[in-house]
Amino acid sequence: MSSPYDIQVIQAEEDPTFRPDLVMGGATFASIDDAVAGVAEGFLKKPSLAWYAMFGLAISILGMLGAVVAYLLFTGVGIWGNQSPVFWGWPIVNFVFWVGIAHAGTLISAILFLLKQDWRTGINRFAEAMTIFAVCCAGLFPAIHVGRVWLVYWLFPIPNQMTLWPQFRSPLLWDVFAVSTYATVSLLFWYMGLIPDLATFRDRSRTKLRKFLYGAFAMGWTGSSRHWHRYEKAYLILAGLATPLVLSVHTVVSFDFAVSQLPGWHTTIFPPYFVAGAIFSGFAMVLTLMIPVRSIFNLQHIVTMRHLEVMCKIILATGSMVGYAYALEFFIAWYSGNPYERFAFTNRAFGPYAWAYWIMVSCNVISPQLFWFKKIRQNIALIWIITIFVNIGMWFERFVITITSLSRDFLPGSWGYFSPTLFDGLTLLGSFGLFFTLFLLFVRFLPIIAISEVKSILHKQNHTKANHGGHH
Amino acid sequence: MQKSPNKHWRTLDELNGSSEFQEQLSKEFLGENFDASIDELDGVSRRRFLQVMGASVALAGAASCRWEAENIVPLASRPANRIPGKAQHYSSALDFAGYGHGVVLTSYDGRPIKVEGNELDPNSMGATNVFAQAAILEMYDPDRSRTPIHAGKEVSFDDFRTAFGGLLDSTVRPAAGRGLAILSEATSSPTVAMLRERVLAELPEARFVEFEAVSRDNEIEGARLAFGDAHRAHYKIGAAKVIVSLDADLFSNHPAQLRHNREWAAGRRPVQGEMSRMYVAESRHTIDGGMADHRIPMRSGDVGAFLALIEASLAKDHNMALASNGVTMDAVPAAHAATDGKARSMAKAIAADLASHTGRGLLVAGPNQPAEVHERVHQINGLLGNLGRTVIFTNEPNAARPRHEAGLKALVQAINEGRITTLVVMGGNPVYTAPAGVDLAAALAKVEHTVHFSEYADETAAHCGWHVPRAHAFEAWTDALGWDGTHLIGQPGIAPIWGALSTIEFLQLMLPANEAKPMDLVAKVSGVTGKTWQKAVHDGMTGTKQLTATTPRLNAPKAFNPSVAGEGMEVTFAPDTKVWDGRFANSAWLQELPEFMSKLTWDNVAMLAPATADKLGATTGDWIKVTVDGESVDIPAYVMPGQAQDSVALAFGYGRTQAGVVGGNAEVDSVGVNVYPLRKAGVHQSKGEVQKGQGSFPLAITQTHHLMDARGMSGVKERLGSLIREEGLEDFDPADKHHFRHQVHHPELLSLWEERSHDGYAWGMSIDLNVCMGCNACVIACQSENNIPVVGKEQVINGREMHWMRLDRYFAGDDANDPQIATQPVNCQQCENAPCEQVCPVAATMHTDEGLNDMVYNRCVGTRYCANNCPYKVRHFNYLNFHKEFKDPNNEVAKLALNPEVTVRSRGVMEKCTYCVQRISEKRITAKNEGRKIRDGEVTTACAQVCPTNAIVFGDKADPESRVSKLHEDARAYELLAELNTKPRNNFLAKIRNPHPDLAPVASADDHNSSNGGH
Repeated sequence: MSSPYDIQVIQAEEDPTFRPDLVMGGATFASIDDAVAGVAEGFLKKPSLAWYAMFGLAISILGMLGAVVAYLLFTGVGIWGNQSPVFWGWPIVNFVFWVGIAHAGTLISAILFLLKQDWRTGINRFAEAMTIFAVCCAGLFPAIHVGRVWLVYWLFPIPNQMTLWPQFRSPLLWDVFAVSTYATVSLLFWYMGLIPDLATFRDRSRTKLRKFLYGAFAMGWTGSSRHWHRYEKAYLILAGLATPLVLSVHTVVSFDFAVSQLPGWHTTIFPPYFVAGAIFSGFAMVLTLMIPVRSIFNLQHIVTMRHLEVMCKIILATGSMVGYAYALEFFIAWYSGNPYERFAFTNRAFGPYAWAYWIMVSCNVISPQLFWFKKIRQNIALIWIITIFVNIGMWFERFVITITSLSRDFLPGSWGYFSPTLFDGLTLLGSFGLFFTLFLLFVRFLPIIAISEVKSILHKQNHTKANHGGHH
Repeated sequence: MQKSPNKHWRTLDELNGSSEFQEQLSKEFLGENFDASIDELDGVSRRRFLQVMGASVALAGAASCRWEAENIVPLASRPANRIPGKAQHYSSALDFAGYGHGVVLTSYDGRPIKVEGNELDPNSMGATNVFAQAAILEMYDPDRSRTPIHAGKEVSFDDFRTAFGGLLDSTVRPAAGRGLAILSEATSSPTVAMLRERVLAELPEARFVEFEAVSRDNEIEGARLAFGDAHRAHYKIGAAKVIVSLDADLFSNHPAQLRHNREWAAGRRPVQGEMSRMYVAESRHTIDGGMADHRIPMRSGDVGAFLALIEASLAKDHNMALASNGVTMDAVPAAHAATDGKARSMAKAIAADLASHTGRGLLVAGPNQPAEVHERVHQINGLLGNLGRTVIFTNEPNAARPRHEAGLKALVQAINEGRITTLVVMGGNPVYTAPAGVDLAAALAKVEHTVHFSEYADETAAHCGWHVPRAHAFEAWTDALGWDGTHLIGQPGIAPIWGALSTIEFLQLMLPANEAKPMDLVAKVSGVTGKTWQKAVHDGMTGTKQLTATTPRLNAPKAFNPSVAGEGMEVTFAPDTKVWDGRFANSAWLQELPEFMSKLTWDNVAMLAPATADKLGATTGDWIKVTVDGESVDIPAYVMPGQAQDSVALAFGYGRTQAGVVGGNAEVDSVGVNVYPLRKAGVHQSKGEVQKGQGSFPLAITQTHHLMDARGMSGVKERLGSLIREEGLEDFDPADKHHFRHQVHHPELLSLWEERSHDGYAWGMSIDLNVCMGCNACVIACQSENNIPVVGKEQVINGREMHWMRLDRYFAGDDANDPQIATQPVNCQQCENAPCEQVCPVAATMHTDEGLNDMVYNRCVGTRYCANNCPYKVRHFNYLNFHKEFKDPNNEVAKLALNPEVTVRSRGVMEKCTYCVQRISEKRITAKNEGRKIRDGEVTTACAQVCPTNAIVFGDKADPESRVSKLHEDARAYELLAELNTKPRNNFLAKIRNPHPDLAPVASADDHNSSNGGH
């Protein structure tokens, strides 16, 4: 699986002062254009059977999701395993899972942009796209999990003849604003960044239709310095706007839990812990998807081993934070002296859902610790496996929080045990169908690497090299 | 008039273009019959009016081919005292298994929708049990038979009258009734008794046989042994300070149970006078055991020996010996190794208590105990001077009849000998309930003419040539005698919905040319006329008692050598607490009612003690095989803490094959397992064998206990003391006002929001845990009042039952085989600072000025966040359309049971207890019209109204003089989870146990002091 570029990076690591290039293989502006645009153009020339097979599978699963949702609308939420006392089941678990995934994109685009982390350019487009698609998946769940889906618009503050407003004390309402703002800003940010690259696509297009469509979306981009000037200003502003959102979305999502008074939910640690977990899962998902894509489309010189390693380090850092949060929750539960709180946590670890808790701990706390070892950080196959574990673990984290806390709260007379139904499984699977359908369309039609940004790095990189060479 | 060409039809008659229908049409379009029609309208009786109203509402649904066009026709002149949409109340009576219960029907626009107890009836005192509550659903059960059936075909009532009259004329009357047998269920109706005499006068050779699967024949025999004659014992529970219940089930399986409950509760209010002490020895859980200060689980077969221990201790330690007593405590054989030690120390304590409370003690044995035990109980009560004080007697009506199963046996024998040619089964379902070894079904095949007269075409109907629908008790004029002989008058609440005969009408068919109206007969038998009769109908009773007080004298005591159950397994039988002997098997409310101790719905099980289950290697849900005398049934096991070891408890009433779409019929699987084939005639306990079977069966249990993991169990144990606060009577100080309230320490509670001020009413509730028996009456009353849907077994397993009132049952103590029991009713606590309101994103749950936490159904979008945030988990969500069954045209009639004052909730909507806000609104309007405030006690919730022990009290907290205000100030008052700052409007009154000082202290007492719910 390791490409020559990867090996180059690995070998170069012997020298601690050495930093491998972010773009390798002696790339030029033209070669980057060819490499990235070639991905989409390649499909045009020679339709890939593998892509069609994958797309067919993904869209079938999406179709299945459509059927499940239709059945849900006609029958009711009762097709899932939700019950009393576990009124929120898998749909909310899935929602939080997908919202978490959606964090990496904006983090990479906005925060790392502001921090001038150049390595982000290789992966930001990809991560942003993933963010948008994950938000689509996330947004689906709160909408369909309510009892009367046809009235879900009542959650929006739409002026009406009855002057009835939503109830602004409810964290669910804050959620509506947080997620929709995040989705809007992420989409704008992504689209902004796409404009120069869409223009590149437009210029390389050979058919009228493609020229027209890319041209329309490129909004008349010519690459003039005025355009660049405005573009960079706007990009900076959007990055500034998006930065607090990275922190706020999952903070607000965590309020759904933290503001309620359920033992196991009602804790102040939730906002930072959720944000760390979200970044953790988002980076894991980026890696899970990036690793096959870069090797299939021969982009190892743009998304290099160094990129992967940096992301592994972020996973290690956020994974450790998550592990610390798990430990702290237990400490606080004990330290608070609140018997309900204590029980909620010991019940998590040793009660009927202990299996879920220990899956969570082994995937989220133990597996990322392997990234302390450089050998593992540089073993692409292992990275891929560990990130999948992290994805599984983060899904279980939400399962543990949502379901074990609800299943046993204050009065033992109301305790219950949640079992999912077939439809819970199909809905979760279906959301992956939606995600991958969008993802495969993206791979086929849009620049999966931010061409213009990589070029800017290339320029800088070449420039620095030239200077160095001069002195020696 | 032409037959309607329209293919949509409203009634079957219209479809058929029957002459009757054509005639009705011509009446509707008045024409030349104008005068006649006016006459008919003018003379319309209430009964006829109800008939038309009932039928028109019922039949409105028959046209379901497309969107219905329903015509609302206003009354040309309003009948007196009728305001459309305003409830009316009529007293009526229920004759249940031979004992009458006075009830009051709430009726809207001519259709009864709710049953309440009749406060004037000394046996119910305004309360009802679950059966009376569920009777209303039974009346509207779409599965009730609608027409007579002959040889599998539906025929008309006229066909039956003709055929039956012909049969009587041709064969029965010429033979003076020889060959005619009438097998009847037990009934206390004086009118039926009178008609029976007249039929016998007319047909002297006919024979009447009475049969009930569950009877009190052992008591009657015991009285005969003790007094030489049958006397009916009445217990003055209120006068007894020491109550010893020996397998007795005074509180849920006794015709006077409601009075027992009420009187017992009155003696358990520790602030007001001396508290009684209750000892219970029993094999299976009964409500008595749940309320006992000391309960010992022992096999039913060992109870006699336990009595002997008490007797021996009285003789030895207190010098109170019966003449025949020569047995010392040591000589009484050890009943069961597991309980022997406890039994001996408990018997000593009981003897000491009884000896120090002569004339104020009470020993009672239950219907499962043999006559000898009953005799001995009478003797000891006599010895202690209790007779005439805590036990008083009346004559036993109809005492001369043979034991129920003996009568049935004799009848079957007569049939097999070919002496019966015509058999009329009047009520009951004897083919299903007959004991093992009495093959009534086979016998019926040998009888030439068989007629089954009952509400349902059931198992017995399937074996009879004719089936004739019987009117429901609320559809006919009836009368009945309460346990104490109170003469109850039952007026109909509605005309027979499907057309049916009442028992009175049916019996009259056997008399020549006798067409007296049932009402006139009931009036005649009651012996009152004119205004007095009108008052009797209004009150539901004549005010006279048909039983006379007696003062029987004890015979010399017989030698009493109680046997013990010995080695091996005992099998005990009892009527089910939900479907009785099976007669309520088609009641969805009762099937879905969590059984009071096991919390099991939709099934019956074999209850095993944990130790017994361990021995078998079986756990809850595992199939086991129970064998008695070669007969065996497979039934799921249920591991029940507190069940006697080596004793298997079975309940009758399940495994019906012809009950209906709820209980099981040809298309629908039976609910539960029929255990009648195991029961020998007249015996409620037998030796048997139990083996573990193959596999397991899913049970719908609403609250698990024994299946819980160790972590969960310790969690329950840790918090139980702060949820159910209790104390021994010795430690209880009525002057310490806030003792229980402050048991859980918490920091000062601050609210995030500005707290509401309330002016006007402030509704509140108080629930006394000391007297809540867990009898479930409130659960069904709430279901009936508030249109709560039934969700079915599968959805109960999924955790989606909808009962607004939940009875949490907890076990305490370390011995799983002998736990302490407590029940806590949990409905919406109507928090002033409600966590649900704060999290609803659409403001669908809001606070009213009167402090109610209201649910706005049509604003609810169903996020379910409120339910997550409710610490009491009293919110229930309509996960599916739980009212779907009403879409079936066949079930239209069941809609009539719905309360028109309460919204029927759609799918996707949250619901919960409203404190019966519709009742409050109704009274508020009345009070406003009269320019006053609602008086205390004027409005009450359905649960409070039905409560036999008055454990639930509802009222206005803003009124310092109201009962609820005073109870909130009671020394025992506390709020559940107050440390969460929810400020619940419900208060609980702590449980005060009254243990005997010599016996082990309350096991869970230690837990309480250390409990601290939320620092």
